Amino acid sequence: MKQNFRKFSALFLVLVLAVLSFAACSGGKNKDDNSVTIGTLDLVNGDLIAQYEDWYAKELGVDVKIIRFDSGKDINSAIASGGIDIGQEGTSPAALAIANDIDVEVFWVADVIGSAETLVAKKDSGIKTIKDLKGKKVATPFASTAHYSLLNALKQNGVAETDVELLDLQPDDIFATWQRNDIDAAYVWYPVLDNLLADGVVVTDSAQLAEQGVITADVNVVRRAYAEAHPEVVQKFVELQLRANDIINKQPDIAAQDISKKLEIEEADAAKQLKSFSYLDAAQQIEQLDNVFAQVLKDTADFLVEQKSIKSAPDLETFQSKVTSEFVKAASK
Amino acid sequence: MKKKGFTIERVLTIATVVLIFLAWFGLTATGAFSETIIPSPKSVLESLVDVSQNGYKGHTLLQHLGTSLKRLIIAYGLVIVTAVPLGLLSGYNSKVQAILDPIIEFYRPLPPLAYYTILVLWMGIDEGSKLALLFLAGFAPVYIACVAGVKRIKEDYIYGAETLGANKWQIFFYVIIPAALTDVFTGLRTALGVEYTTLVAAEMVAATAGMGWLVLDASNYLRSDIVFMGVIIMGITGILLDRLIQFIEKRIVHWKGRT
Repeated sequence: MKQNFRKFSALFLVLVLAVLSFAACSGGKNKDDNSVTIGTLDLVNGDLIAQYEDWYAKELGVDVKIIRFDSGKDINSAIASGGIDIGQEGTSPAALAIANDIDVEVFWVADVIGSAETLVAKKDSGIKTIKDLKGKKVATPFASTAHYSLLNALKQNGVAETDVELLDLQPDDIFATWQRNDIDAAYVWYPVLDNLLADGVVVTDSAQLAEQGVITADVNVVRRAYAEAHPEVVQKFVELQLRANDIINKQPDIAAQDISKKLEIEEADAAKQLKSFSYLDAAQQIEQLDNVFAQVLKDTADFLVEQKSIKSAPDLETFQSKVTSEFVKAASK
Repeated sequence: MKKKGFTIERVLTIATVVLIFLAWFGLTATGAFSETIIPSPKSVLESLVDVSQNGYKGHTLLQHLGTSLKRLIIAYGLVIVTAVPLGLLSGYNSKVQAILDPIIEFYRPLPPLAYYTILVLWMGIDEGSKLALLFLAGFAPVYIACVAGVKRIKEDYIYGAETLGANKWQIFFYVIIPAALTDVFTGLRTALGVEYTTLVAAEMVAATAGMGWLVLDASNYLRSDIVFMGVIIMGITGILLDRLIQFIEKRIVHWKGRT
């Protein structure tokens, strides 16, 4: 019995040590660690140009690791666990991150979504306006910016959510179910959007919704602890994004070329997708980050509370404290 | 079976569970982790109360659980009526085995998510594709256990029956099936576990209810309290279902451990 007890206590000790070392590993990196881990969604914006031109590795001045994610939700989890330092995500996941007290700062507007996200209906479904969606099956990836836009479009047109059959599908699955005629409409982005447009009609898009005040965008966030330890890396990162946006706005051909090569798509497709977003220069960035985006994120979070997706949203001041133009200001000096 | 009740093993089991709970309480009480990373037991309990009173996104907790269990039980029923007879036949007849083995050997190690999109393309986004995924997940373990169960039967039993004048069918029904039952049940238990682990995957595409969907949807919105609650409920139901099968096994294979 005594021996047994000794065996067990040894085993227990090993377990405790294992758990502790595991916790230590996942606790994030040291302050003096000279590296940056960037999470990307490969969205069509300056990030892709920087990746294709290899600017990150060449110019950030630290060891760079780039990890590709599939959704802003995964970026949030990665940031919360300290697995990545800088990440790109839509305004919906960014609002979620702030509402859930993940310590991030929004420091860059990568793109403002225009017709890149569009509500398409099947040609033979008889859907022409949003009101026609009643009783139809509409698919979108939940918790995305498209989901947010769709719900707002329904709300603005007085269509109750319960009157529409909303389905949570990822873009690939949307294409599959569209082909099988399992859905009547979908709010989705490229490249699947292109496939749907072949036999679909546009009902509305995020550009139209933005005119009515429902702004969706993709933003870059940084872990606050990382931004405090390495402000120079974040600033350099913004410089690269500014340079990329400059190319997109002034030399769209080169931008389309880079992006088509990075994503292995046709150049014409890349050019078309680039036109479906808008990209802000330094002055516009500062204006938007200082005066608009805290409110956009607050609106998004409030909407999620209304949806009962999250318990509560912090006040506007909290959002203002999490949106900063300091890196853009420093980078554009 | 030794004496029941107070054994060192039981004490250890209870101590482990208590220790995990204490660690959970302790870790969250320090406030070092945000609610998103480790929700406190209190907020998990609150979300349990909230979800069971007000439901989650249009369905009550029981509806979510019921939807999942319905999918699980239908698929499980299909597995029992197909995999058990096919598996036993395969074990008994090498020609049947030669036909079925390549198919099962091929798809068995595939991760369900790899072929789920194809199932969705073929069967649509309604119940069909979900049931098919669960069915496929459960089929292989039961089939393989059945084949193994038959192969392990001592040849003496079969020769014995033959000497006494039993024909092939009589041997199959009166010797093979009873002798293989222990292995069949092992397969059934494994299958239930595998099906349960596939449930979340099955409810990933276009589900609007179910425990797997609830957990996925809550994780979309970083609602870790609801994720914890869902996972704990799924864990407990999983244990209960397993116990149920063990109970049935004891009733049917009452001679287990005495052969």
